[in-house]
Amino acid sequence: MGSVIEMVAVAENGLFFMGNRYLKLAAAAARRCLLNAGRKSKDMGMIVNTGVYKDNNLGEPALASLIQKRIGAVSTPDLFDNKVCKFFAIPFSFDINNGGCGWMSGLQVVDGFIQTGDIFSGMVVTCDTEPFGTLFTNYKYHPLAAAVILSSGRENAGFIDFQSKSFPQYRNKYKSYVVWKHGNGRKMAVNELKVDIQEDFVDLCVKSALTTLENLLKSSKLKLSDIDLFIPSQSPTGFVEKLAQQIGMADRIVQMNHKNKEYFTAGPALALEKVWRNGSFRRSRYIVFLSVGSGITTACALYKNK
Amino acid sequence: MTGQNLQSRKPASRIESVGTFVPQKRLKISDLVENKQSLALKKLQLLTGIHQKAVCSDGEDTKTLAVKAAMDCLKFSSYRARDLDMIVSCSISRHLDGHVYHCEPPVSLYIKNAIGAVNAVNFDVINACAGMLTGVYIADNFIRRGKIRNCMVVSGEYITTLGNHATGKIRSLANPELASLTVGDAGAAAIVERQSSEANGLFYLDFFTLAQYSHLCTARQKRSFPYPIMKTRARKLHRVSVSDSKNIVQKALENSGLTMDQIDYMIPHQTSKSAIKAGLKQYENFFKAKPGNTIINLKNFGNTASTSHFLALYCCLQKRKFKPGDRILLLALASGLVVGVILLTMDDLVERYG
Repeated sequence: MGSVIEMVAVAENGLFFMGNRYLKLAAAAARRCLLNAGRKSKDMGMIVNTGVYKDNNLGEPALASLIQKRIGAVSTPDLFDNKVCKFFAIPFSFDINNGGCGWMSGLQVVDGFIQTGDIFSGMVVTCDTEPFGTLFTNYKYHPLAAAVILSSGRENAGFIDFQSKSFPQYRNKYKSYVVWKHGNGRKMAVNELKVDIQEDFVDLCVKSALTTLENLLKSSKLKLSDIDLFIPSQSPTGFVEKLAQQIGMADRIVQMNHKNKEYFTAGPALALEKVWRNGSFRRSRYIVFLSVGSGITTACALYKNK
Repeated sequence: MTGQNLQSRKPASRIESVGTFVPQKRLKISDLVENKQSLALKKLQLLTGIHQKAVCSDGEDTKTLAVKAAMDCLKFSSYRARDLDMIVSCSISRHLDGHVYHCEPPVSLYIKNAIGAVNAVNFDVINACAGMLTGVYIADNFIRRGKIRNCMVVSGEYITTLGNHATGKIRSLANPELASLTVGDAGAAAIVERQSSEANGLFYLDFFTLAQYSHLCTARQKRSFPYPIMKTRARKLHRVSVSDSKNIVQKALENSGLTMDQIDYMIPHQTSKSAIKAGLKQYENFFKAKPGNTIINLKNFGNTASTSHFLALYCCLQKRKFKPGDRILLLALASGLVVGVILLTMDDLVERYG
């Protein structure tokens, strides 16, 4: 059996409106998660950041290392001076980019290192903020950060299976990129984020997600009716509703209706936080996480409560 | 990491093949430095050991570099593209269609599609210059758990555009953008596969992030400049990466039951000749021994970021430097500050190159 979810926390755009917004939001979610779990930052063996849109499209270092620094998981010289100490309590941090499925890829990687005993606990952090402030076209994701702590599982509980599949034939249905807009007259030349999304993207996301869900159920020998809770991506707009129509169990699908705000990589984590707080996560036996994103890429995970 | 399972384990995986692609176009380091700039700057070539670097031409970008490296890797491999179970793209640069920075879809999806790896799952890993070694670490974990049989770790670094902001502005060796002049473009790919023999393969992998130094090297876009900009506090970064990595390397050697002189080849991250040599001297004082050989591969390529270890490995394979049984230490030192050690024993891979 795989790792268990120990805690989840989110941080929404509040006072974090000045510079380095991504880092502030992500670190706030990570700190809140550690606090709620009663853990120290140095307990984390691995920190994985999975957001796509970050301030000024930071290329290096990995944003996860900056989050690690902000939450205080840094090495101390005495740790290195101690010749007896064979195991350094220092996390390993890196970023994963897999669009809307990045969060699930992060969970899968951290779960893997927990299963092999390389680490006891790990954290997956995700966040999205506009890279250049207001300079964007079609970008509509609300700034939101989420952090999840995974730790060594108990018997018969935790992540059972992960399935992932991409459909490159639909790679042009959703694209986001930065264009250099030449200035003219008084207008300065600037970088601008552009998002191209085609009309049939949502329908194709649902179709692709159902294929991956089918594979997951087949490999775990479960029926759709065995699943007590579905925690899906909250984007693109209309995905959750259309998925509910197709699956036919709307009451078991967690949907976040937040004044027309669209959440990206942190969407499924926000849905998880909702059911975590109201207790329905713990009451459910089989839970399916279902993510979709550009590519089209889909990812599914099966989680079992004892 | 904090893990309990840090002793050297039976190798679960091995490097099955390596491929690279280096653009034809070359730029001499001496051409980067203008006459009006200081004399000290003219010593850049002497300090770094970089004579020239490869630069992308029109039509070349992150994807084309990675795809060509992946195709080269498949040429030396027993796998076909459709046999691949996983593709992990590890580049820092995300420039497709020339200079356009792509956020989504992931670069790995484009590579997967271009080489025809229809059955592979894919995602991108970003970990500065330690990207490809991080990809190998993740691939080894998936293979160890039996989730996949093989994984292609690939990267295309189109990073010479970092120099566009720096060129003409640098007046001294202390300028934080100096390192931007030393980077070169290249692509590299490696297939990691499940290991059947216990004698060879990747027998030790461990990584740490010393996050207190994460501010020492940053690369990002700017609202008002078309190309990315990199700023590095090179001297401090070099000092702390050598001083703080010694204990990590020592732990790796101890857990593997080895001493430094039992390492046949050490391949550090390729930054600058003088920095590597100075670091090696400190290692020698600390370990009271040195590795058989240390690979410095900067002369014609420069610092090629995440591809540098595999570019160096590939060059050595082509020159038939290795023999089966050689122990190789891949040392990741990247902004973050990431310190990673991968120890491997060379196998019959050497027979397919040169």
